[in-house]
Amino acid sequence: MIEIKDLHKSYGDKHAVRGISFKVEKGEVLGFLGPNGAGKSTTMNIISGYLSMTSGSVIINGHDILDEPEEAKKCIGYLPELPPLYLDMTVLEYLTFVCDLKKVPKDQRKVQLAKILSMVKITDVADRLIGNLSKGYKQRVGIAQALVGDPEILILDEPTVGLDPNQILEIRKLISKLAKTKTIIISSHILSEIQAMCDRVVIINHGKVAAIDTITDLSARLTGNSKLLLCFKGAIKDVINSLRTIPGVSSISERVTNESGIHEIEIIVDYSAGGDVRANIFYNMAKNGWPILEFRSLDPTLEEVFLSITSA
Amino acid sequence: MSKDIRSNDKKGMDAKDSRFGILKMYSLLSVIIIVAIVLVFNVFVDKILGDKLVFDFSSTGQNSISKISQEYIDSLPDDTHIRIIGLMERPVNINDTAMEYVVPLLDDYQNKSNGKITVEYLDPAKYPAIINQLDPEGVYDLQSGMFLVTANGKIQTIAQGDCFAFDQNYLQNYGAYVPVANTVESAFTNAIVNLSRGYSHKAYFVTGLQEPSHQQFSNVLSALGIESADLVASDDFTVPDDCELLIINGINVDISTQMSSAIQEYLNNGGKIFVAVNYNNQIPESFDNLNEALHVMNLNIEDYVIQENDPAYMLDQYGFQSNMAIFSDFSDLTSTNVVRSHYTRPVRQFDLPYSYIITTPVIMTSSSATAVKINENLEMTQYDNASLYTAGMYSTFDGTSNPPEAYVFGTTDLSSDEYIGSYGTNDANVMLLRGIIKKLLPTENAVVVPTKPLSNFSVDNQKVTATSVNVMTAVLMVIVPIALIAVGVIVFAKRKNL
Amino acid sequence: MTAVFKREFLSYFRSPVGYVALALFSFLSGFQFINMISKGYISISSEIVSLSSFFIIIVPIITMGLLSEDKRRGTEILFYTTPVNLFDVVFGKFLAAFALFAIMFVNVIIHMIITLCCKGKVDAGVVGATLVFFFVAALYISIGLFASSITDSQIVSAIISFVILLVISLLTTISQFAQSGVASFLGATFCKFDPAKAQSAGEKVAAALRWFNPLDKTQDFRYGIFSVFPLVFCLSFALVFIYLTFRKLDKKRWSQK
Repeated sequence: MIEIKDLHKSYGDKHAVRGISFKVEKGEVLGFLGPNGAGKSTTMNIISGYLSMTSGSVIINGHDILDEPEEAKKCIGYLPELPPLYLDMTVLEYLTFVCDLKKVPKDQRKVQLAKILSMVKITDVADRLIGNLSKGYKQRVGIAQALVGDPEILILDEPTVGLDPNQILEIRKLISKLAKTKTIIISSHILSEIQAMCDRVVIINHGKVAAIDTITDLSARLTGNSKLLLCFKGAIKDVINSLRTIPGVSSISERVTNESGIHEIEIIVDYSAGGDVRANIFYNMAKNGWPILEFRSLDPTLEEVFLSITSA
Repeated sequence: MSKDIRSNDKKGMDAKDSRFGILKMYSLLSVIIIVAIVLVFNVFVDKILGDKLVFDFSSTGQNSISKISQEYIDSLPDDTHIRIIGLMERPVNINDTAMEYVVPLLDDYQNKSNGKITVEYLDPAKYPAIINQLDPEGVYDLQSGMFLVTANGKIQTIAQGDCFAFDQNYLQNYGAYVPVANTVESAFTNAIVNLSRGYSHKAYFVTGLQEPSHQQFSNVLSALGIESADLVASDDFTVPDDCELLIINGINVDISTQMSSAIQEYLNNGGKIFVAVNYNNQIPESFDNLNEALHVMNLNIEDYVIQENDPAYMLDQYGFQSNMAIFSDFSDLTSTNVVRSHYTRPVRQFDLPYSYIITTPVIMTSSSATAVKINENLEMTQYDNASLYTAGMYSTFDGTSNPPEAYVFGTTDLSSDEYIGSYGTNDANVMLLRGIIKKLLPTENAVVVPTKPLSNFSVDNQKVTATSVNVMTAVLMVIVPIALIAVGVIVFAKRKNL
Repeated sequence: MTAVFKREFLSYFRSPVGYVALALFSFLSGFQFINMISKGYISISSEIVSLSSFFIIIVPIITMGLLSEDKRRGTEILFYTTPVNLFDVVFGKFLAAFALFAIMFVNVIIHMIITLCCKGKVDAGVVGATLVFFFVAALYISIGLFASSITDSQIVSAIISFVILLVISLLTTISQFAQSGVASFLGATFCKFDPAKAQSAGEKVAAALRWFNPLDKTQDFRYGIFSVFPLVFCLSFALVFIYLTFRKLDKKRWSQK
C-alpha cells in the first residue's frame, strides 16, 4: 500500500531525515513514534506530498508521489500537525470547500459530509465558525477534512496533541473505528497512545529508523526489561538488601525519601529469568513487615525505549 | 561512530534524486522560455501589427487622421522627412484639456506616415538650444508651448488658437475662449501640405479698418494652398505686385480715397478682389470710397439693411436673419442652395452702361424682402418696396485677356471668424466661400480636411437640476457606501458569533 | 479552480474587507461622478480612467492575503496534499480578485445608466476605458498575486506589490531619469568623443523602459481608439505573472530547502 524507500531530507545543512525505509500493508495501522524533532512530521509531510525529499522514493498504491502526484494524493487523507483550517469559514463551508478540492462528486457530497460529521461528532458545530471552536473541535474538523473524499490511506500527524484526556479517548475510539476499513499512519511521541491504537510501530530517532516491530514484540522487548516503583515505610538499606536477593531483580536505586521515613525506590527487573518477580517482591516485603504504600510498574519513557533499542 | 553517521549521510545525499534536478530545470527553463516568448511576441505584435490593429471608434474621429490627410501623406515621396515638434514636455494627463485633441492625433500622424513624419516633444526649458537650432534667424518667433511643422529648413508654426474654432459670440460677450470645433488635423495637414508643396498663391487682407480678426479665413485660404498676409491701411497704401487676391473682410471704417485709387488701379490691371461687409447698426458706416473703387466693377454696396419678409426665408422674427438663395451659377459650389446671413446690406449692379462688365448675382433674398435704414434710436425707416435684393454679386470683364474679378458681399457670414468659428468649415456658407476662392485662384488638389466636432459630454440641463444632483450626491456618495459598510459590519458581527 | 475561486471570492464578503473596498470604490467613483455632473457634463471614460489611478492602492489591499495568508496559517498544505492542480489554485485566486473588481465596476455601470437618462454621452471612449480598466486590473492583480506568493506576511506582500505598481506608474518619469543618467554616464566614459551617440543611447534606454508602461500604451482607449497590442501586452504579462506565481508554488515539489 505504502512503500517508503531510503528517504532522505535535508534542510540546507541540517539532515532531518537520514534514510528511512518501511512498508505499510493494506488495512494496517502503523504507529510512527519518535521524540520531538526526530523527523516524524517531515517524513509525513513527504509522504503526503507537501514536501519534497532529497532522495528516496514514496510509492502510494503503486503511484510514485513525484511522478504521479495527483493519483497518489487521491488515495491520501492528511491531517498535518497544524490542521489546515480557514478560521473565517464555518465547519460546513470549510468541509464543502475541501470536497471541491478533492473533487467529490456533487451528488455524493451531502451523504458523505453527513457521515463524516456524525463520525467525528461535529454535527452540532457544523454551522459554527471554525475560529470560534475549541482546540478539540478544531482537531476533529481537521480529521474530518482528512476523511473527505473517502481516501484509502489516512496520515494523521499527532492527532491527539493538546487534547484533554476525554477527547483523546474519543479520538482513539474513532481511529480504531476507522482502522477497520482504512490504512492509517499515526505519529506520536507518546508510547502508550501508539500501543493503544497500532498494529505495528516504526520508531525513529535522529531521522533514522530505530526499530520496526509489531506491538506485541515491542511490548515483549520492553517488558523484558522493566521498571517497578515501590513506595514503602521502613529502613531503606535493609529493604534494598533484602530485595536484591530476589532472582530477576537487576538493580535498585533510591528515588525519594521524606522525613516521615517513607521511601520510594526504583527496581529494574529482568523478566527473562522466569517467574513473576513482582509477586516475589510483594511476599518479600510482607514477610519482613514493611508496609507497601504503592507498587506499580513504571511506563518506560520514550528515551528509555530508545536507549534500550539502540543499545540492544 | 559519529564519523560513520556522517559518511552514511553523505552517501544518502550523493544519491540525490536526479528527478528533482529535472523538475528544477524544467521549472526554471519554462519560466525563462515563457518570459522570453511573451517578450518576443509582444515586441513582434508591437512592431509588425501595432500600427495596423488600431481602430478609431471615437464619435468625433478626433484621434486619427482622416482619409484626406492619409492620401496626401501617402502621395509624398518616400524620402520626405517632416518633423512635427511640440515645444513642450510630452503632455500627460491630457484628459479634458485641449491637448486631448492634439497629442493622440499627432501620434497617429507618426504611426501612419511610414516614417515620413516624426513627432517630437522638445521642451525649450530642458533643451535651451532647440529654438536657436530650429530658427537661427529668429524669424518665426518660436515660443514654448507652440507646435511647429518643419521640413526642408522651412517652418510653419501652429499655436493652440489655430487648432480650434471658438465661439465668437461668447468671446465677444464674455471674453473667454470656448472651443466649438476641432481643426487640429486641418491645421497640421495644411502645414504639411504647404511645407511639402509650397504655397501656390498669395492673398492680402486689408487691415487696420476696425475689422475683426480673420484667422479662420486665413486657415481656409491656407487649406487651399494660398498664403495670406496683412496689408495695413495707410496713406501710402499700394497693392503689392505679388498680390493675387485682395481681401477686404468685415471692415467697419471706410477706406481712404488714396486706398480707393490704389485699388482701382489694381482692378484695372486685372486684379482680383473679395469684399465682404455687413450692416452694423452700432457703426452705420457708408462705404463711399470703397464703392468708388468697386465702381470699376460696376458694383455698389448700399447703406441699408435687408429685412426678409418671406417666412420661408426668415430665421428670426424680424427678418434681419434670413436664408439667402444661391444663384444657380454658384449653387454647385456648396451642398445646399441657401446660405445663412444676418444684418445684410444689399449689393447691386451700379450705373455703368458698359456691356463688357458682366455682373452676376451670387446670393439673394426672396422677392418679398425690403430694405430698411435703422437710425441710432433703433427706429426703422423703410426705404424701398418689397422686391428681390441681391446680397452678393460677382463681376468681371468680358473679352479682356486678364480680366479683373470681384466678389462683393453685403454680409460677413461667409468669411468672418465669428461665423466660421461657430459653424466650422463644413458649413454651407464656408463651402461657398471656399468654392469662390477656388474659382478665383484655382489650385490643383487642394487638401481640405473637414472640421471635426468636439466631444460633447454635456447633459440635459432639464434633468440635471440642483435637486437631482443633491439626491445623487446623497445616494451615490453617502447612502451606498454607508449601506455597504453597514452590511459588512452586520455580516461580520453575525459571523463572528457563529 | 471553481473551488478556490468560490472560497476566495466569498471570503472577501465573509470579512469586512470586501465591503470596505466596495464602499471605498463607490465613494470614490461617486465623488468623480458628482463632481462632473454638478458642472453639467459627464465623461464616464475620464471617470473610469481616474478610478484606475487608485489601483495602486486598491490592488495591493485586495491581493495581499491571497497566498501569503495560506502560507502563514498553514492552509496551503491543502493545495499540496489534495489532487488539485496548483495552477487552478493560482488562477482561481486571480479570478476571485478580478471578480471583486468586476463587482466594483457595477458602480460605474449605474453611473452610465444615469448619464444615459440625462441624455449624456456614453460613447466608444467609455467602452475603451472599460477595456483598459479590466485589462490593467488583470495585469496589476497578477502582479499583486505574485507579490503575495513570495512572502508569508500580508503587509510585506502589500508593500512589494505597491512598490512594483508605483514603479510602473512612474515609469515615464523613471525613463527620463534613466535617459539623462545613461547619456551623461556614457558621455563621460565610453562615448567621450561622440556625445550624440551617448544621447541616442540614453534615448533608447528611455524608450525601452517606456515600452513596459501599460498606462502609456492604453491612454488612447478612452477616446475611442482601440488598438490590439496594448491589450495583448496586458494580458500576456498578466499570464506571465500568474505563471510565475504557479511556479513559485510548484517550487515546493522540487525545492530542497
